[in-house]
Amino acid sequence: MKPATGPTAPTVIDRPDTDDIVVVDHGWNVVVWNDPVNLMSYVVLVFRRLFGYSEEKATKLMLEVHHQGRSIVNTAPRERAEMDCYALHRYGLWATLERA
Amino acid sequence: MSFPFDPRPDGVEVQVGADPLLALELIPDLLDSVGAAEGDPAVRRLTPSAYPDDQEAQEEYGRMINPELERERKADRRILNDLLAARERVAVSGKKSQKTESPGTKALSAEDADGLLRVMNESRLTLAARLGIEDESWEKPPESPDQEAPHLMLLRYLTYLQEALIDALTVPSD
Repeated sequence: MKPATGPTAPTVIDRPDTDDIVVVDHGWNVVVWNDPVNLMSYVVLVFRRLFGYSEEKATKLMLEVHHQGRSIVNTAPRERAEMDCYALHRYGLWATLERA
Repeated sequence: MSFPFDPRPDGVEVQVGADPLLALELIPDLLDSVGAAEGDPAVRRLTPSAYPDDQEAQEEYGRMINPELERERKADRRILNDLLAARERVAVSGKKSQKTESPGTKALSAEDADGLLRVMNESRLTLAARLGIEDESWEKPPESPDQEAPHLMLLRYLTYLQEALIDALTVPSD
């Protein structure tokens, strides 16, 4: 049986320095923009090839691009997002990156 | 409607002697001309900015990515050049392009067919940038086809070929 303990003595704790700004990296959005030249069927094919999306998901994202002007096709750490953006540029899609 | 591309389980078979492929013969000179003239709008379209609002980040991205992009585009061009060489052989001799294939055809793996798609798209974007195309009105059939600008005619032809190749690559498997 453990002996009973008395009141805990007060201790000094370190207060967080509230002047420090902590930026939490929520990743980067890979954005594809509408383009009057790229074919809808081509965009679907590219989304399927690069991201492994189903026909349904790739078509939904393509239609977002077409009707809303842009679509976030992936969110990832910066290095991964840059590689995705590069791959989209290689296929001739108009893609940019933005903080998530 | 994939002519002159026939679906295969592992890619496509190209009827290399087919008339519609004539448009592909114009691609090498077209792409060689990118950037030759000062202010060519095709350059900007083919190397879009990943960070349009952050010049420093874009410069770093461009330093890392652009050489690789150029290298891979050259590799895609080699796929086109091989196809054009096969087309030339068929035109000259009328003989089989390869022993394992039918006369006048060339097999492309799915990977190589993707490379050909990218070259076609690069060409279409080049033409569209130079034509100043900013909306989808260019897709309407021309009222006077004979008076249409040659670059717009080529754009339409390459669009037809790209759709045909996509059809061949995406045909549902049994």
